[in-house]
Amino acid sequence: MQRYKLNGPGPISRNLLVSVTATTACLLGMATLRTVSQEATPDRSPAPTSPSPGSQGSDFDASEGVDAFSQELAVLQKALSGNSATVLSPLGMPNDLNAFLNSPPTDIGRVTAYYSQLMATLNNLNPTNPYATTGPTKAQDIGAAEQGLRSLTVFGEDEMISRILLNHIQAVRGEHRSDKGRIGQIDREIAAREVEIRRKEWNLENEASPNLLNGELLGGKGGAAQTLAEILSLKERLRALVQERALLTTVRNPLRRRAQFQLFILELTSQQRYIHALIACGFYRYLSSDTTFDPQQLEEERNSLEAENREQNLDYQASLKEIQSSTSVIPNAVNASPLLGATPSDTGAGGSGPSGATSAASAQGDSLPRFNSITGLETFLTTKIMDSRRKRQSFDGMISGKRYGLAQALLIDLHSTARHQPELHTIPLEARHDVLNYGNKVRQLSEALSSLDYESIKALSAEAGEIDSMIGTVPLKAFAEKYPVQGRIWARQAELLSRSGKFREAEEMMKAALQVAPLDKEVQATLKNVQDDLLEKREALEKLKKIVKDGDYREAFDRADEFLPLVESDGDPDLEKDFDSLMNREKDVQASLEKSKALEHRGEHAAAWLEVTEVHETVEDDSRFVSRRTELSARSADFAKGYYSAKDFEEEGKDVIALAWYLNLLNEVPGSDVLNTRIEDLSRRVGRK
Amino acid sequence: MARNTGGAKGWAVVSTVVAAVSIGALGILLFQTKLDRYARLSEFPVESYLEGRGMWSGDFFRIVGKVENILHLNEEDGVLLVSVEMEETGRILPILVTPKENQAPLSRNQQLKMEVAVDQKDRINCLRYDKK
Repeated sequence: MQRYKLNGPGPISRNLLVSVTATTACLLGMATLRTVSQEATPDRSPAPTSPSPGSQGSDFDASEGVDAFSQELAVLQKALSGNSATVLSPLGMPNDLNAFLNSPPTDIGRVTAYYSQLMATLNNLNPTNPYATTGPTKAQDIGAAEQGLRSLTVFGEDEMISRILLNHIQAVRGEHRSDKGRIGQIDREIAAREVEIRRKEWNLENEASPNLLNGELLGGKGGAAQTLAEILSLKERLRALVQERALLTTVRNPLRRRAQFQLFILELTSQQRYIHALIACGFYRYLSSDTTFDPQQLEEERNSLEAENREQNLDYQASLKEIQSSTSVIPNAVNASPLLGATPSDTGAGGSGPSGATSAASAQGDSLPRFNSITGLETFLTTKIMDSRRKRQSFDGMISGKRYGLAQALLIDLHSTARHQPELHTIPLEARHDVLNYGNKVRQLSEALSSLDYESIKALSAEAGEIDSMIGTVPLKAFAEKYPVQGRIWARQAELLSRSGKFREAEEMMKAALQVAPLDKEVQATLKNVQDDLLEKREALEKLKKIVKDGDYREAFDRADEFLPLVESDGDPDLEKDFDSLMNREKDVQASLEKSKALEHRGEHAAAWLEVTEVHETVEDDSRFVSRRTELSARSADFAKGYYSAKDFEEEGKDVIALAWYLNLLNEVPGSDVLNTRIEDLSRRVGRK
Repeated sequence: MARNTGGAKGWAVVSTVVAAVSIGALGILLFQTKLDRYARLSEFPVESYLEGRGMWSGDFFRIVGKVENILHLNEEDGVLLVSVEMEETGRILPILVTPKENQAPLSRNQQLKMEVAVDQKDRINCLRYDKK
């Protein structure tokens, strides 16, 4: 038995050369087509009554080729996903990182100025800090540092951190001044932010509702996620206000104020505000000689602040969670953001103690160590800052070397480990856009690969290759060259198989062609013809089943050339058996008619009549038999009368008289099998009585 | 006178001979009739039988014909079913024959005279037969 297997493509490593692959595929296709053409030429000779051995099972097997295609596709997708985080999901990068990459140039300028001021403040406070530019000879200048801290409060990027830090410094110093004005201002700001949060939550609820006109979301694709991020940002500010108010209203106990200051420093560390934390450490060291942490006191202060925050924020958290649970449309990537859905204690905002800081850091995948003193904390902060600087240097090198895939991965890492560091926020606009464009390009390429849009794969591979030489576009191009050709070959084979009546094999080949090249115009056009053929085949099959059910042996025989391939390809043993039975019945009818004519020709009219009379009950009313009996009845009337008499007596149970009749009829048609059989049966019955 | 006597004698001789012949012939006829016991039986009404009219009456019939074939032998009681072609009509009838010790066995193409009766199941039973 010949088997027609399509040679599946080999591993991707063996098919790197586009031209070689395409040529091989063409040659393979031509050779296979020739073979199939020879085999698939319709046979015009009378169809065999039994199915050919080759028609059983699937000889035209494209499964190996399809398996190889699937493996190759999986390898390419895996390789592509390794090139960019955005391949896995359009929102593969955290939402705020996307916003960061899309920042307008004016924002970048302002952020750069802010961080310059921040580093200058640190430099005044601690001349040996990692950002020091003036050398170790510079003296500490507390006044300039405090002034620098005040100037930071005007930046929006500071998010009131410096102002709170100043409040802590004043509190620890024990400066007596009236906080009434500030508390009043904080109350007004809290009220305003609460209103704004409520408004945005209402917006979020509506943005997540479906648009009845187009079925999309009212807020658009990223609308809900964006609003959610804004709500969380507002909540962070609100939390800071609540914390500041708590600080101002705390009883003026020096020990408690120092503990609160320590909690604040730990919170800054957990929020990855390493420079702020270093500045705070510098002020604390200047204000207090006791630089050790008292875990018990810190825990008490943490619980106290947490309770206050919970009281203020409980309603917002509950409503936010309710919205989140009802809006499943919010992308996972946004939910995965460390800020989203976190309670104040989760982010370390309300819980500034060591345990709170640790839990916050754990949420970000990086747990904080336990600190015993300010010195230990400063060492940790310095290490973190050095790490950030090293990563930034690597990032800059990757950008200049056009290795955007690696740069993107490093950027994501930087975003998760140094969220508020200048190393991240001072990345130039061009570099951000390069990373963004690269991510988009690779994502488009991945989408084209998923949808098997080979033309797009070729075009995007060329573009992505120009952007980043590390992406390895040669296998992609080879893949995009090879499989449209393979799909056309299989589609053509499906067409040939369909024409030769091998419908099941044609369907398999058609599926294979569609699987490897669903968007190819030539494949689609060819498969349309195949589908038309298969549709006709289905109609014919329905007709055949009806004919078999009705027992219409005459039509079955007349359309045998048409029906036999259907019976063979359908593979239903019952249908095949019934169809064979019909064919044999018609053959018997035709044989009886021919024999009757021959007997008539020899003058044996009774025998001729008997030949078309004594037939199977399923064909006795056949119009050809009826007509023939009518023709012969005039010349064999006595015989016919005797025959019917015999039949009647036999039916009445008068076996002896029936036997007498058959004996006399046999005298007229000697050697008749029918009569002899009846005589034998009846003789046995009569003789036994 | 003498001529009259001679004439009378002649008439007497002739009459005697005629009477003797007649008596002899009559005797022979009576003897033969007495020997052929089938002759007194009615011919089997084959057409009536084939038309299925009720034949069961206790009457006996004569069938003269040739054994065409032995259709069946019942091994339990040795009853034969034979087909007999009737001499006069050419019709063929199936007849059950029970073998008897003092009767010669049947064989194909044997010419027979039979005394038959039809039972309530329309079977034609041969009561006795002789070679023709």
